Amino acid sequence: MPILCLYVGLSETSFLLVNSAEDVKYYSVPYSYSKNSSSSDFNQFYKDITGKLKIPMENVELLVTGFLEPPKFDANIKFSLSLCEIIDQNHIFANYFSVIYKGNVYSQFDLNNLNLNEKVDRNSDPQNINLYSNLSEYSFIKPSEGAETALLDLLIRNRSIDILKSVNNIVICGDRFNLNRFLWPQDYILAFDLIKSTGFFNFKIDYKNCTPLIQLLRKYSFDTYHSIEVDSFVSGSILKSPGKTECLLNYETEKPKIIEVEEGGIFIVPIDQNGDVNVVVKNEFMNSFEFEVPESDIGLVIDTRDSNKTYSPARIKDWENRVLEGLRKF
Amino acid sequence: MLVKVIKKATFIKNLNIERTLPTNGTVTSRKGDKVEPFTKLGMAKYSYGLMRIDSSLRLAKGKNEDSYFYEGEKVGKVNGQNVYSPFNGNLFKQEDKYILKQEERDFWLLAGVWGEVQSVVENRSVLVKSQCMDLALLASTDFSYSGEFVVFPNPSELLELQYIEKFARDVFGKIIYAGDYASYELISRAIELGALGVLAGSADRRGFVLAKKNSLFLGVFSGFGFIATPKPIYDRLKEISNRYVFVQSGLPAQSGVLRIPVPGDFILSELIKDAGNFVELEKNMIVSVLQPPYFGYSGQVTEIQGDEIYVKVFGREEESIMVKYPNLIVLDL
Repeated sequence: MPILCLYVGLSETSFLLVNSAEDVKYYSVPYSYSKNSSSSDFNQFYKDITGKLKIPMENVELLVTGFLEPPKFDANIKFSLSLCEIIDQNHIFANYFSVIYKGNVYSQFDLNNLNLNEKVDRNSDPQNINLYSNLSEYSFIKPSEGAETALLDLLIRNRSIDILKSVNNIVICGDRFNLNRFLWPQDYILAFDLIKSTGFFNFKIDYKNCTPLIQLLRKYSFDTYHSIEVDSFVSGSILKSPGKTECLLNYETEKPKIIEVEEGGIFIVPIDQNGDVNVVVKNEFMNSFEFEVPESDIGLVIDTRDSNKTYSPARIKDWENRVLEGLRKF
Repeated sequence: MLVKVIKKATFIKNLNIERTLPTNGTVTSRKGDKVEPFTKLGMAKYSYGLMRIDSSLRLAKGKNEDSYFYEGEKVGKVNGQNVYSPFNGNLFKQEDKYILKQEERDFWLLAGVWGEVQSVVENRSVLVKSQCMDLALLASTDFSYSGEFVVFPNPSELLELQYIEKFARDVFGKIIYAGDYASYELISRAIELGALGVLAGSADRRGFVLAKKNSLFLGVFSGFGFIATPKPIYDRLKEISNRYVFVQSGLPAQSGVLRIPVPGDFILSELIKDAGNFVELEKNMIVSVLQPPYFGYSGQVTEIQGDEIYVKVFGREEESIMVKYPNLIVLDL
């Protein structure tokens, strides 16, 4: 019997219809169910959305997850898990309110403030409270320009995560990155910011946020679906190295290169298909070390910014340009 | 492209509304009576005001624990401060406090709706079968009241406080539509003046805490901070000023409704037939824009180009603004 995975996020509702490990269809709408702004219950919402997307509701095994808890509704649900239960060690999940990593939810804002029956935290900025309250009611809104994106990202940017050194192949996912468009430089910079630790990491950004659906499927039947893939990732490597950094890049088929990045910068080195690149790093605050960079979509991001510093808008614009340059190559 | 639909107006048929006297009295209507909003259903003697006074009260000369006081008359002193009676009423002692109770007056129970009396609970209440139009709110405090609806004639932000002062005498016991934005100050003043409810396009989130603390119904149509009321909603509100309305939290919509009684022959025009929660966006649909600088404004779709939707904002018809998908909702009014 086909499997239908459902994810109900804060700003999206998405489905994975799995006929077999090779026959997988992905559906998504940039809207989510809200008790307050819907005149119907979730049952009707589910019926309407599956009807409009022409997704079969009968004769499927239904698996459900959601932020933070899976919705409860009148359907024959075979398996359901909360988002925290399906996000693995190497996943960083982000929406506009919070970041989830290793089963913990990090949020700058006290979610109780959104409940009209709760007192407002006196220490919270009234404008922020209004902004969050509107975002909770219209959680599907996407920033329409860069300045707005930056403002909203501030709310989660400093929820960045100290990744364990042993974790590699980080997957950055969540409603924040399912944008129904190509990722903008700001989106990449946020992804880089979410990794707070220093060191070298390979990463993938899930620009369709299929990760919750795939994880749900794997938790349901790991043996059958452990290798299932959906084409929704942009891959890259990142060297988080705050302070002035020198990199010696040893290629298999080309001459070595030395790249020097000043403190507070972002530089992207394309890594093409001519084999992995060996990199030796020298940084004023770290011992020298070396690592292998595999081929990827973006290449190697050398990030010398100090996450504890505040940078000027001109500097931020410069990072965006650097990312844009790097992306052009890719 | 699929867009979320917000059904703001709903016609409710065969709705049973219970009208209750505040205390036992006389119910004059009978089962089968046809009623209109200002039809009197019954009457009770009711004291509208109550004042609690600390037990340390030192009564004024010539007064005792069950004296009668006229409005403005000195009751006595508490901690050296004079206490005056705010109304005509009787004093009595209850446990460790003095209570000054306003003289009972006639309370006439009005039907408030068009309909037919279904049943009567003798001396107490009347059940009327009626029909209403519900306007859905985005959020409200957890109270339910009914009363005369006052719509401020100008919805602009600057004049709201002046309007509330102008209408001050008439605000007591009423439900006010304050305009696009109910500021904290306006909510505070409405409480002082004894309003039962305040509706607006938007309100400061802190205003909800104040309203809740003071048992005021506060409801918003659009959101928090300064966000305009969608024009089609304001157009409906203008038509019902001075009508008897109900504001209700909880069911049927979690976020509350403004329930407007309508005559039996009322027809609610449905813009979109059986839209459900989603609709394929088409030209000419009425939408609410959820993108600065026109957040909350409503308008009509003029063009759809990929994920760029062009909308003529009501009141600013000379130009179309571009809205990025999904930053809009279709309004079904």
